[in-house]
Amino acid sequence: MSEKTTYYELLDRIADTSDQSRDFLESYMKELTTIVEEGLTKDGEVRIAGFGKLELRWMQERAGVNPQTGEEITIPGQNKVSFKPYKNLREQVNRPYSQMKVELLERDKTKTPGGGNPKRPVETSSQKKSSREEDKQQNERLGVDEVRILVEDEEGPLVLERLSPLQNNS
Amino acid sequence: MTNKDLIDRLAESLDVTKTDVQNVLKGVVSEFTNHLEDGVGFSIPDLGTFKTRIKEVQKIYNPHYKKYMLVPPKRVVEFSPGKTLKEAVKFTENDHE
Repeated sequence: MSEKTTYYELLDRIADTSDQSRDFLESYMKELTTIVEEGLTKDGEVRIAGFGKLELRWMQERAGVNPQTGEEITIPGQNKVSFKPYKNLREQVNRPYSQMKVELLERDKTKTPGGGNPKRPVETSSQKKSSREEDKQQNERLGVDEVRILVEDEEGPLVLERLSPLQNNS
Repeated sequence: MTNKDLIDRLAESLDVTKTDVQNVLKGVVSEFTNHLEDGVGFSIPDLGTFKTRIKEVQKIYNPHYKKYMLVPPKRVVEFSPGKTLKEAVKFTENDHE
């Protein structure tokens, strides 16, 4: 998922879709950058329709430590640029996961704290396994990495019986 | 700065009509979106890098239901500003809220 494209590949793609020369787009992007910078300096935010909003956030002065010398320093207050994608972008990016819902975790009664013997009939466990297998296959089809569904706390393992079915509506 | 201001300023400095600027911007935005949708990141010189990240599953405690809940993974867009932009806006006086 950490794929990256180069700037010129990106420009070529835009050139294809918008039917403009790459030279023009290069100057366009340069100008866009300048104006975004200007907008951030002047208004503290820049909105790009259909994409998102870039804005400045003021970070308070805080104490820090120089990792090299261990010396205590004060990090002065400064602006940070943050990007908030608009809803359509957020949804499109999250599409592979959009079918997954927040789930309630139940305490698994068959397991005792410290990983005791699970007293579960063989039949149920094989059924469970197959449903997990289905989930896994579905995940693979959608290009989603396998999801870790076991969490543990001091009182013993918390088990999620099943992730909500991943349905591809599109 | 609204999208309209952005287009006005771009049209002015590039010496093209606003309609053209707008159409190109639409193309640019749709290509950005396409890339991010496929999980492909990209950098724009001096502006910064856009990429996607997968937020892991997390266990949360819901005090209302007194239950633990599992929040599913999520893919989100991340932006990290380029050095030039970062430095340029670092100490500008703004409404610090």
